Amino acid sequence: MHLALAALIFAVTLMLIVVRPWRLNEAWSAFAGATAMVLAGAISPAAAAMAITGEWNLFLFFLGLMLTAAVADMARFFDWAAALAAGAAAGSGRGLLLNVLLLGALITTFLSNDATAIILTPVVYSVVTRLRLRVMPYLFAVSFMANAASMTLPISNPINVLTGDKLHASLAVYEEHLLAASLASIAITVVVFLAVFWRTVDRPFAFDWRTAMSSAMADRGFFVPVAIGLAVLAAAYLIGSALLWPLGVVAATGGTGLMAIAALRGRVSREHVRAHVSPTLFIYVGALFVLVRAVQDAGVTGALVAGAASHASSASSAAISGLLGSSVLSNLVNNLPGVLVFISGAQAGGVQLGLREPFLFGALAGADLGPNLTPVGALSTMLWLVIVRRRGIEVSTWDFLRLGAVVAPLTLIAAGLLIGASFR
Amino acid sequence: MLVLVNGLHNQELFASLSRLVRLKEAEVLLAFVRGPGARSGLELPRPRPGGHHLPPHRERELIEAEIAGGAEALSEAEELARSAGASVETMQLTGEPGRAICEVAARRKVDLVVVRAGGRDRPPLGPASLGPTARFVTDHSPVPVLLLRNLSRGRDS
Repeated sequence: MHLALAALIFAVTLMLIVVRPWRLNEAWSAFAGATAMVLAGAISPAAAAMAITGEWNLFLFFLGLMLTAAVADMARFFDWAAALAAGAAAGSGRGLLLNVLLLGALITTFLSNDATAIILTPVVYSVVTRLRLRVMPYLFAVSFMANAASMTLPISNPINVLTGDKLHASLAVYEEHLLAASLASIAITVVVFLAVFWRTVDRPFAFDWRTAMSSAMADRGFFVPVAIGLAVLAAAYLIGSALLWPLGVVAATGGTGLMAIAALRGRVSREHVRAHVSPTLFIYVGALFVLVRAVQDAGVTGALVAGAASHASSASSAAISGLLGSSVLSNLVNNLPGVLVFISGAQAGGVQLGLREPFLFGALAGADLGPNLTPVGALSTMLWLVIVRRRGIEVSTWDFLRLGAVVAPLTLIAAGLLIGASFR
Repeated sequence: MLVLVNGLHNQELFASLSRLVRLKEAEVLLAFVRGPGARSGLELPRPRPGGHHLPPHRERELIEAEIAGGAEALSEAEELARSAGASVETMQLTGEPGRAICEVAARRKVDLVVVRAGGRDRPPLGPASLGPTARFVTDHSPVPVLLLRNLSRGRDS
């Protein structure tokens, strides 16, 4: 009874999260689902509280990322980096596409995919619009690279922190299995973009990059300490990953330190804080933990993952099973709930103990790279596309799907083979 | 005539147009539309749950960049049209480009609307398409439409 009820609540909640009826915020759908789980007795209030508090590291990590992004945006660090990328392109549209891809990879690696997607996208839009270049190839580049480079370091994607916490993997172990796959994924994305858009972005441009960089650094007294702070934070992330420090503490300390710099310079902006720090994210993530714990206790996730891992007989095949299953689920229900189901199922005995590590590394890669197949996943996007295209409105999501159909399979195949090989 | 300018193909647009239409002494109305198409690219990254809004200064910067890019595109197109002997008027509009062009065509009672096929900067993957703007204008324009194709390859049809 509990199993059926828990599975039903979980499925309905995921559907609400994906479809977002009446533009309902997914945080409130998740919250309602978690509450329903408690009321239905699928999980006790104490166990629900444990499910949330046990993930304090991830919550701190999210908080740190948001504060860091807000201060970096206040200091116009991303504007400076984009001006540098445009300057280094020396007036070549193709050079700028390459530089935007590399900048996206660098920012994703050290500041997370969230920072790349949310802050770099409007900055790049602004630059290429002023330069009268084709906007879309550059925006696609940012968006795809935010996923393609997001498994380079444990801090490149919050999902890595979540999975890393379960694996207790040091930086050396993490990179042993994922670095080659991540570099291959970045390289494939660069090559595909240059090949697809080679003729599209051949327009030259004139850009006064020195003025743009000076403008971004107009308040040097604020910009320089923030740039140094970001570099220190990147180094702390590397050291922390190597020494198995809780990365949430590193991120939150770094974010608080950067916010202190902004406060000391009198540059804290409410607008930025409001734009970058979303309290509902914590509700969403917390509710997801409760939901997944409830279905785990009912045996749902274990059964699901056992199905996905049924053909895994070796470490390599377990890694590939995790990657494929997780990438499919990420496109169906979003990657955070997707990877949570895989972690939970693996822990609940869905995967043999000896194969758990390769399976979860594969699942991590699938959740990181899989979202390049669709921008939002699921039916709602497709329905929305059909409706708006009928009305003659130009949308880029359909183009994303076509581009994703090229990039995502290539990166997933390369990652699957390389991660599988790393366990031989 | 009303010519939709997107800023990316001004040279090719006027090279083709001058071969098909007599521009000397023609009255040309150049329109640049700040549409939702390019902005939709900003929504490509999956937003955080809880929604993410651009900080107001970023929103202002985007609008300024769009207006500056549009003004430059119109200025370049104006120069090309004038050098072909046309008398020129320019306008920047906002909204969905197809609708905006059809409304102006009706309001200003122009003789001809000129649009290029292919729409915006979509990835060159899959079958070629007129693009939503050209398709909408072709379907709904109250006046004759001159549709220019293959501008970048130097062919007209």
